[in-house]
Amino acid sequence: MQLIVENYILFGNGLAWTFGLAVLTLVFATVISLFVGIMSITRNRLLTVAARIYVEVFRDIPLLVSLFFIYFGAPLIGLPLDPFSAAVVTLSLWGGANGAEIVRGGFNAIPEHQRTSAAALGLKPWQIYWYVIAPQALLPIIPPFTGLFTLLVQSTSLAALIGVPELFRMAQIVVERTTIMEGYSPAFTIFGAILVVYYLISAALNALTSRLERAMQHRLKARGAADMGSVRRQAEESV
Amino acid sequence: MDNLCKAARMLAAFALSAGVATTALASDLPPVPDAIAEADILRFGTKCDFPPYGYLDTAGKPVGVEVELGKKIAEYAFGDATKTEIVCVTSSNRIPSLLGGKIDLILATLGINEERKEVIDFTDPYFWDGSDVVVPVDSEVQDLEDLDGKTVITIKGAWQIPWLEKNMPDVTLLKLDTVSDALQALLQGRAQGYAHDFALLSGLANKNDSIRMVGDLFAVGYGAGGVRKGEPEWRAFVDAAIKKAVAEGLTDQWLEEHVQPDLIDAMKQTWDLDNAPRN
Amino acid sequence: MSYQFDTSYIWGQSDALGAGLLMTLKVSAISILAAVGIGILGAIVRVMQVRGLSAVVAGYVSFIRNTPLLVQIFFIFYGLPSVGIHLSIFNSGVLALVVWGAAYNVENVRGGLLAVPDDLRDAGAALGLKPIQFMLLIAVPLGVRVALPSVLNTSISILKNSAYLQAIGLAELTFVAMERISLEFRTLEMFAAIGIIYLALVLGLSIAVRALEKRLHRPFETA
Repeated sequence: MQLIVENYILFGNGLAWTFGLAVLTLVFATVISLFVGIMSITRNRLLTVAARIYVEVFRDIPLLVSLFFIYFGAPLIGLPLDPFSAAVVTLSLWGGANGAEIVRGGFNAIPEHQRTSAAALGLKPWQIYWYVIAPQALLPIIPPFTGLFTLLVQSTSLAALIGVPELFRMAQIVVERTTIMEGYSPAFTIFGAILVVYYLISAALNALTSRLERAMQHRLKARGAADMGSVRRQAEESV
Repeated sequence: MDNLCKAARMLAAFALSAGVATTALASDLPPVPDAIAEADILRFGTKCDFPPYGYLDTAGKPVGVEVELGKKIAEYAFGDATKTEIVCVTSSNRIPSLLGGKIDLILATLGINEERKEVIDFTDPYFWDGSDVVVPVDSEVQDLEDLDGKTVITIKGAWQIPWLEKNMPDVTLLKLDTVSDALQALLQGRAQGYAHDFALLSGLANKNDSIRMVGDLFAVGYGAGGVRKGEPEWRAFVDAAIKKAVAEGLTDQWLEEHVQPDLIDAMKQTWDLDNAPRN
Repeated sequence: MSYQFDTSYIWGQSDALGAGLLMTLKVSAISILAAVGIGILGAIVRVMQVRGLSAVVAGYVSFIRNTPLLVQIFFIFYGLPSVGIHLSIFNSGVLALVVWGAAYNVENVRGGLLAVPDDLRDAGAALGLKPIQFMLLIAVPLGVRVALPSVLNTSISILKNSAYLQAIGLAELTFVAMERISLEFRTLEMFAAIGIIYLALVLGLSIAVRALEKRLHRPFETA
């Protein structure tokens, strides 16, 4: 335990890298999710197929393999990435692929009659999406998105394996340094403590997003969104 | 503690028996190459988890003997020891980092070997070490020969690997990434011995009751800095700077700061190339 | 930079890759089975609200789901020996994947059990079934059926996440590929090979899961 206290600045630095990685990744992944998710519900076959391939590749290949591929493979095609950039790119693409599925699930769960009814009322396509479809689709995808965010924050730990000095890498460094200096490995204490830190980060994130969800629910109710139990269920299953 | 004094004496005897290399002389420093001078900062790679050479202190700052050395080189070059960018490298990415231009100098426990000579230039060596093996305390292994036909752990890229492959071809090598990995694998019985640098193993064996040194020294290796090929002026500058630092007695001073008391004597020998055995 | 992609290199590595694939399948299969079993037990404990135990299971599920699997693996492999628990690489890997997968399966199966209508419980009680009998004979078979798609998704995740075990040196598919890359530098060939293998495995399984899902859903389809 003393080791943790002694090294608090070092772990603090690691935590800062973890946060940086997480924030950038969450932002990029969200943008990609919306973009690709909407791409996959258009009527353009080329767009939907492209979206499908991207989503399947990143969802089906283990994240770790994608990370190694992007980090070690990019320089070979003349695109050297430092560890941090490689991690941001990989995590964002991975998160985007999973998020796109959630977004697609949310949109697809909206009954067709919502669209046709709105069209019958004379709404233009963008109005249909903006006022009718989007509000109904977005609220129920918040819980699965929260789940995805939690997974993404946890996945930042993979960056340690390519040398990003984030929290887990710092833990590895302390374990190795202490082993060499003391003759014994403090892995149990150090990795145990790191697990607790990640748990607390996730808990904080969950608290934050559930507050956000409540706030959005409130606003959307005011806009007269319909009941979405089924939409929500369907979106959740797509994670 | 007894073990260690004995170990230090053994290392000294080993060194003396093996002969003495020529003495390095300090000289005036050659000019700093233009590219480095223009950059006005020394970007060098050190280990960040390998005390006392390069490691992060409790505040997360890189410290250690090789870190001090790099700062000193910066001071000689720019008159300011803070004009450094210290990059954490590992055994597997230090050479790619150098070749990729992310750093201009490797000071990261880099052992001299033939394969590496094909891709980078080494500076003159600035430390050396013998090798030994640790075994579980209840092991029956008494010398290196007892390990013939058994599995021995080495650290990836370590100089024990070519020696063992050449001299003990019946030994199966289990190559691992870190010392904690190696220690754990040894105690789990995944191998019968763990071969590494003498000074490091002495430190481990002195503190961990479940292992002991075999005490059969072998495979002397030399550690040096690494620079890109085709940069002879830079190499010459680093060589001269390292010689100067040694001549000023700085390496001994750094060792006293960064090495645990029980290992200082042994480590000082490994940083004294006058003591190094000729291969 | 010019990099010559050499397809024949991949075929030359098929033995090594085959061995890695076999290890991936072995460690995944064992982990998936154990994770399903423990998941069902945990879900029963949760739904029946077994005193004390239920809170323990809830805590376990929450902790595992909110911490990184990679750190869990390191904790199990490097941390447990210092408290006297020595496991081989393979057993450490299985333990890590089971502990992780079971946490997700507890929630999957719990969701399924909660979907069993209350009417059935009343009917069971009327027939004289004790709560535990009702649980094992009626609720679990029905609930697991409802939970099956999500349980299978978790199982696919276990297969994918077995790649993490390369970090502790288990010679599974990813480890084999990285090992060859560090020796022979055929980076793109190796990644292409294992990428396609993982894609085929996971895509194949996902398609099977979707088909099953549709089939299971058939009796409940209305209009």
